[in-house]
Amino acid sequence: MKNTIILIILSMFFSACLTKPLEVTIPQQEQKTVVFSQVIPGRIMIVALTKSFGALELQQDEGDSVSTNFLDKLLEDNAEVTISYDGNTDTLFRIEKGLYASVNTPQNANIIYDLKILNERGEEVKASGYMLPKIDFTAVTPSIEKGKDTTTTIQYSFTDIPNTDNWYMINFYRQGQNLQGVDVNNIFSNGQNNLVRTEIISDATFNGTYEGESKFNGFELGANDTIAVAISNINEDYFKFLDLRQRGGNIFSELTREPISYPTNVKNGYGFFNTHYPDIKIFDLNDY
Amino acid sequence: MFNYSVTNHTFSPYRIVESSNHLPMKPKQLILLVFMTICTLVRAQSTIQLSGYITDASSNENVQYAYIKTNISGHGGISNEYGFYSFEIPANKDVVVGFSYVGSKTKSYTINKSKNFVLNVSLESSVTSSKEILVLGTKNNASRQEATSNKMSVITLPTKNLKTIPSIGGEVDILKVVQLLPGVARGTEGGTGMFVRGGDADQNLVLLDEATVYNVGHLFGFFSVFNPDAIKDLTLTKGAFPANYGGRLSSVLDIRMNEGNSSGIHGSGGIGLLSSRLTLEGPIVKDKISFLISGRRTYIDKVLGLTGTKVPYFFYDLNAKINYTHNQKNRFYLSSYIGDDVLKVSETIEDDSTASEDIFGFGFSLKNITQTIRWNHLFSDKVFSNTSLIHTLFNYDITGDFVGNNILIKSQIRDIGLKSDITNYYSSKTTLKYGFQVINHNFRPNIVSTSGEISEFLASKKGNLQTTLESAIYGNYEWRIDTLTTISLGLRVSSSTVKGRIYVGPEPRFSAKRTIGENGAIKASYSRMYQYMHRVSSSSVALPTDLWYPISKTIKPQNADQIALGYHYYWPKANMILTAEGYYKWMRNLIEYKEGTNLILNDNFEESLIQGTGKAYGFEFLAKKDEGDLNGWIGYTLSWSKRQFNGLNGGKEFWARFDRRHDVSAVVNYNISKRHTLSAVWVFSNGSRFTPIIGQYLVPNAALTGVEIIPLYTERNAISLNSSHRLDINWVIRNKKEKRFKYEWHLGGYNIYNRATPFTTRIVPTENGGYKYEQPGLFGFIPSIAFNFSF
Repeated sequence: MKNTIILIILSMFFSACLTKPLEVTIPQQEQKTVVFSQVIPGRIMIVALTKSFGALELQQDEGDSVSTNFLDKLLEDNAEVTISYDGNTDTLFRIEKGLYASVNTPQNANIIYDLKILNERGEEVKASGYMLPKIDFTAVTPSIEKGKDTTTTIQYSFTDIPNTDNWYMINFYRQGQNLQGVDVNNIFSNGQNNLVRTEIISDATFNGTYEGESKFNGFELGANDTIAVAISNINEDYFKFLDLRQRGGNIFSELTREPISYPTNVKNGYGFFNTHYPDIKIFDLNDY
Repeated sequence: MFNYSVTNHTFSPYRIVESSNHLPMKPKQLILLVFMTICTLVRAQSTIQLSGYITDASSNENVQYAYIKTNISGHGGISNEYGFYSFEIPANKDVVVGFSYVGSKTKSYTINKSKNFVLNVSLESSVTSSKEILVLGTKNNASRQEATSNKMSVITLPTKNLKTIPSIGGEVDILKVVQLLPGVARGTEGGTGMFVRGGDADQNLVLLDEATVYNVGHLFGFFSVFNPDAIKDLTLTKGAFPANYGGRLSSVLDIRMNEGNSSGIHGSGGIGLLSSRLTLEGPIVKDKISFLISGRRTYIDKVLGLTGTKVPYFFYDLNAKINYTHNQKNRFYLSSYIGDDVLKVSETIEDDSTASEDIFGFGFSLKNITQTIRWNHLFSDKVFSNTSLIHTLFNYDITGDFVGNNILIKSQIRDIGLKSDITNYYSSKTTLKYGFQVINHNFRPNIVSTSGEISEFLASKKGNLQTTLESAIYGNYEWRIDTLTTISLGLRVSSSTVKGRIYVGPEPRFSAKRTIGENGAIKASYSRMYQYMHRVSSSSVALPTDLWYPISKTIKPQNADQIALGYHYYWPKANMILTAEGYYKWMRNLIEYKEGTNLILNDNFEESLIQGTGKAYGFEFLAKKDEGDLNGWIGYTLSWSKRQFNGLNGGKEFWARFDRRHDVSAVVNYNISKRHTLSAVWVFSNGSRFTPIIGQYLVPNAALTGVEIIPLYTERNAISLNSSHRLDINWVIRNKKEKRFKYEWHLGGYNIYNRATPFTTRIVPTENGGYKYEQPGLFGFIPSIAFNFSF
């Protein structure tokens, strides 16, 4: 009897069928220009331009990675890029495909910079960035516990800029060779600057001076590494963008695939035209 | 008072005439009697109160919502939730009173009484033979009375009429049946989620013998916790809410357990693919105390265990009830339910480096407990009361063990409530129902206990205990203006006391009915509902571990206004009820989560909640035939449901996730012969909505040292999944002889033509190296076999 029951149940399960998935066509988002920028203090303003692409063109879930060829297709070449400020207009020169820079544009706080791009498809893309006052660390102190599990602790503090709502971004780098900015020749190649962590802080969460402490395990920062810590005063939209990126990157959001709409300050495009100005501190952990 | 019970009579119509009392009287006594009579209201002279309980002849259980009609226009009624009825009839006059209920033979009595009269009526089932059903079906006027009653947006389904409906595993799932009713949109395929009239899944109050059931699903929501053998009937109210109902915006699903057969010991049970069931019921003291005990358990773990295959999961349900009739005026009920989902995985892993063995373990338990003590009391023939003391507990534990690390995550909600209703059948034209309800909610989410190295990363915490007191007082006045028109006016004033704030919600209710012709009625209603708690879950995934949370100082209670207009018609030729209703619902303070919110182990996510508005409107059509060899229903819903939140979709209005434009359900039972019944369910619905990725772009990370891929989505819920349709069938074969031990085989199939009902959209590789979208279904064709018995 037992065997009969088992046989019946198993045959029921095995005779159950899987349905054939239904194929569907979903219209894709039209291709637009993607803007990102960085200010290298006292040196250069860089604008990186790429193109958005369809959901069916690249799938990280399927093991796809951003190959050089694929990246090359996305770089926005032959664009006319200008930055206007205080009645002046600077035309950015092409460093390489997709990368444009200006060395003449003054980097002054409290100035609005208007970015205008005319891409090779004849589309006009615009964005405005307000250069916020620079924020400086009041102190940054690394300490290291060496042993089986090396732990690096970085204590830092800064004083909130008064009378305004502010948002701050703190980046921790490792083993960088161009810690004053970025290796412009390796901007997309994940070259020598390894961003270990980004922390964002709103001044709504503290009063006056902020004292922070970040701990890193041995995989993140090694006892012999050279590290850099940078703080920038960023605008609210970029803060929200980074906040969503941090939330969207967690396991839960990957599991549930909750849609996240990322903000942009680019008209007729995506991305961010940033004009924040970092304060950078560099340390050799061998000294600690 | 002169009580005369005719429960055991079997002929019809009955004639009950009180014999004259010729006692000798002294002159003074006669004068006094005349004086008292003059002082009595004129109405009292001309009418008497007819009252009593209506029961099922086979089990002696009370029958709710049975219809009582008389040959005197304007006199009649409906039995209440406890089978009690009461109304006035003319005194000293032959009055024909008919009692009818779906699936029962109509009983008629001719009553001529001068005093209030108690008449307990026992209705016999009409489902005795195929041919008999056909004949009796034309006689039964329960359907006609249902169509012309003042009930609107309400459907009552006795479980015994549902047991042939096909289902996965061969055992009827009453929540899946509810999903086949118009106005109820299904959630994910196979799940027990319900979205009533454009509402959300947590806006349905599910009551089991008046106790709230917080988790209605086993096996991640694919099977309901309600054992059909233990359930007598269910009533779904989608609108026109009576004032005694409150606490959720969109629906109340009132499920009543069987009370226990008081006439003799009976049993029933079944063996299905997924679970087996056994129910015993009978009298402890005949016609005085009866009991019911019903259990159900999955046994796939045990069966496959015999083959050496480990299935570390099972669920069980246990229902028990005791019914004590102290006397005609006092009845007591004690009912209880306990159910649990248990998963326990334990593996031993050999560690080569240390030549030792590590134990890996994972498990969870999801437990529901409800207990209800009810007291029905008759203050008089006109005044009925019910008082209930209610306890509910929902608890989930998740445990994990690995290499000396242990974790226990526990959440709990416990309610203790008291409610009392009094119904005063004041006159033939008016009924007043009033009462109060108090519930103390204790929420203790995310208690974490850790030991080992894991405690350095995840510290133990007691959870954030939150206590709220939810209360309400209510009154409902039903007034039969004339023989054609009835209105019902109600007011419920609810409140919730939370830390630092008291919320008060006035909830007016109104409904009206006007009979059109002999068989039709036009009906209208308005109701406002307040909801003081909400379920915290991701909009994409509904898990049994979703937590219920109360409102707070900053999170305001949800509330909704709903209007409905309908026409109900009894079609005599087909013995069928045709119902058409339109509704419009405005919802406020609905709750959603900010994009990117992480809800796992987050017990302080108030800042992640956002509140917005919603509106839903639609049209529902139902053609229902309760009796006859061919019976069942066809339902159609045309609906729209929208949401608006300032923090979502750029503040623009968007479609609700389970906004399904068209939804059709057909349920057909055909009694081929006494031994054979063929049942089929066919459903069609437009797909639920989702937000697909339609583009991507690369961004350098914050330091320009690498790139990340950012997805681009459509507007929220802008795209619908494909429409779906499905056919399920079930063939019931009963044993030949009418023996005490009856059995039946159920042979069935789910999704007969194996069509996918999409539940998501995914991107998959194509043969030529590209990618495409596809929408997979969850369940294909699943055959089933079940064996049910009763004695």
